[in-house]
Amino acid sequence: MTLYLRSRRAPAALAVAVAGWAAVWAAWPLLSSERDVEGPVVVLTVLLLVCAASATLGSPDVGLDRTAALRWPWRRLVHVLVASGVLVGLLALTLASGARFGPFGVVARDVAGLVGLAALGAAVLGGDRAWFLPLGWTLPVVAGAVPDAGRAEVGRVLTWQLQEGHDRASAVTAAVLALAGAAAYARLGPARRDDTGRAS
Amino acid sequence: MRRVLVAELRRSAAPGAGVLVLAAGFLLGYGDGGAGSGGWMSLAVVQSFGLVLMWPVALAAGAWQARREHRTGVLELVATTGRPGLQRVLPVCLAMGTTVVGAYGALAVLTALLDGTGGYLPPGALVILALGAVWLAGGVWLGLALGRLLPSVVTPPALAVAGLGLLIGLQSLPVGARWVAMLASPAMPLAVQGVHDHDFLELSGRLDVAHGLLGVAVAVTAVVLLAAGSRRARAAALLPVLLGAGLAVGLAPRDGSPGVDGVVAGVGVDRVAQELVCTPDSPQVCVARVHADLLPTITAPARDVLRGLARLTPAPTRAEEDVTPHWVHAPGPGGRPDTVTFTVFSGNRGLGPDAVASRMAAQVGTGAWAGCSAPFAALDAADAWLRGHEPPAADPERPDVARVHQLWQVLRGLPDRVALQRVSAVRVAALGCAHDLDRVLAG
Repeated sequence: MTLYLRSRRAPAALAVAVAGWAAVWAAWPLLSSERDVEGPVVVLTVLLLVCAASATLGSPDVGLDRTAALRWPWRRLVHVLVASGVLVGLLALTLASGARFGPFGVVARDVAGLVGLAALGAAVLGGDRAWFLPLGWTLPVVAGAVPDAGRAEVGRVLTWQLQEGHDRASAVTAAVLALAGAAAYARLGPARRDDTGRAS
Repeated sequence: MRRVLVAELRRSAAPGAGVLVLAAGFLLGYGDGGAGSGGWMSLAVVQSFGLVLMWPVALAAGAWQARREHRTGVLELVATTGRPGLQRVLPVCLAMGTTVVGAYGALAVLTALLDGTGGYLPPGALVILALGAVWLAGGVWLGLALGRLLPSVVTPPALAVAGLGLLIGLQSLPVGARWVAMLASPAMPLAVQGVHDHDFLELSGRLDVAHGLLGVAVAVTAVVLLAAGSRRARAAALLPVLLGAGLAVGLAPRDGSPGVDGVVAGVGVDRVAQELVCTPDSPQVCVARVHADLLPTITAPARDVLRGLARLTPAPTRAEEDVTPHWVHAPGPGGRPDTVTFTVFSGNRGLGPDAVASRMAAQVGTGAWAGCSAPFAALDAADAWLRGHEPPAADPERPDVARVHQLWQVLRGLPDRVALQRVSAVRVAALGCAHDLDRVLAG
């Protein structure tokens, strides 16, 4: 187990995630007098943590992994769930502090959806590129480049990361992404690609 | 050198970076269905606005390339050549910079073609475009440098997130500190909050120089950081950015400095864009220079409006665009009874000249006049009488409708000649910002 975590660079990812989380958490009270961290900042923090966590989805040697007599699908599924759980837990800790990342529902939805996207990315593009999908979708949304089409259904699905906690369309989108990502990753595992972009 | 550059252009992440930057900028400019008004300043601002996304993407692309170099051991390979550090990093810098700035330029051309940009070309628009290119190149080099210092998988996405976070943070600075955003945000005009219409925008020369200076300083620091081999050299790389920041802060206009008639420091009104261009024949119709292309289409509907008001005494004899940008918080000019004003802005430009004209004709020809902004029931009643329409008698959701109908009935009860005098008087009083229009109408 320890070896598995180390091969997935989990300690480093956790360190990066904690550092990013701590930086935003510590900086917020300096920047604002509000206790609740603003929506876009919450989303960007979640995105940062998910990107850090996505680094653990790859494997240094996909081919070698496959030769091991392990029940990989279950292990991968647990990996995705634990990663999401750690991130949600980390962010939930702040609810008791002076700079709250919340509401809890929004954070949980965004973590679940974005981890799902990252898992999907890992399964299709490879572990090193797992962050392409969550980042590529979320940055334009936060920057305001994606219209929410007058808050119509389509618009709320496209900008699901930024919607309110009680919004159904965005919750369904996140759930679909989480399920699809977890399923694809558990079944396929990280795609085999090397750093020069060609499948190996 | 050329062969190396071509190899870098083909083999590095440069082409991908260019495509991504183009996509990011396009998405930001057209995600909402086009934001430009068709003028060059508007094009420059929309383009610069796109940097909100393009700049973080450039950072990430630079870091991605740095990680690739790290993984493939290119650095060790290149380190075996007997070349100074700067020459070793120049090819990759040029390759990444060329494609990213090329994509930025291509986006500007594309936007110009799609929007049919033309007409009055203020030099300030070109300056804003050039400043954006400098900052974008600096961004991709900064990404390269930071990616080389921390060659991790997480560096590129972390830089992208941090970059966007920084830009959003700068944008939401409180009043009094906005000049920092104007100075240090790559997407400078984003900081011009409350300015939605950019046709009359002009940035001060000092702001341009300070902003450019800081952009160049960031770019130089990134390149020196890349070329630096030792810890001491890396520390020295901070020198340009510190120096540049110091100079830029000294130069940049602060909020509330004298001579600023806009909302943020360094934001002013382009007086040349405001100059009126008029039809040679009367009744005269005038538009701002920046909207000169609209003159042929607006002339006929504007003259129709004048014809409709010809029975008034004094009757308006010319139509003129109100060239005060609506983001200037200055008292409007006193209305002139001989002139009917209309407004052109990116919001109503797409609607066509007839929509502009119907707004101009409303409320006895004061509908588009922004000098005083209270809703006047008397004007609506006078307008209805002049057109010979009966206004709706009541509307449960709008109590003022009943008042309009009541005033209209007063007018209808008068002989035509007297009523016309009253309608004329209401219009003149409204242009003079009188408050008690109801009494003017009732005599």
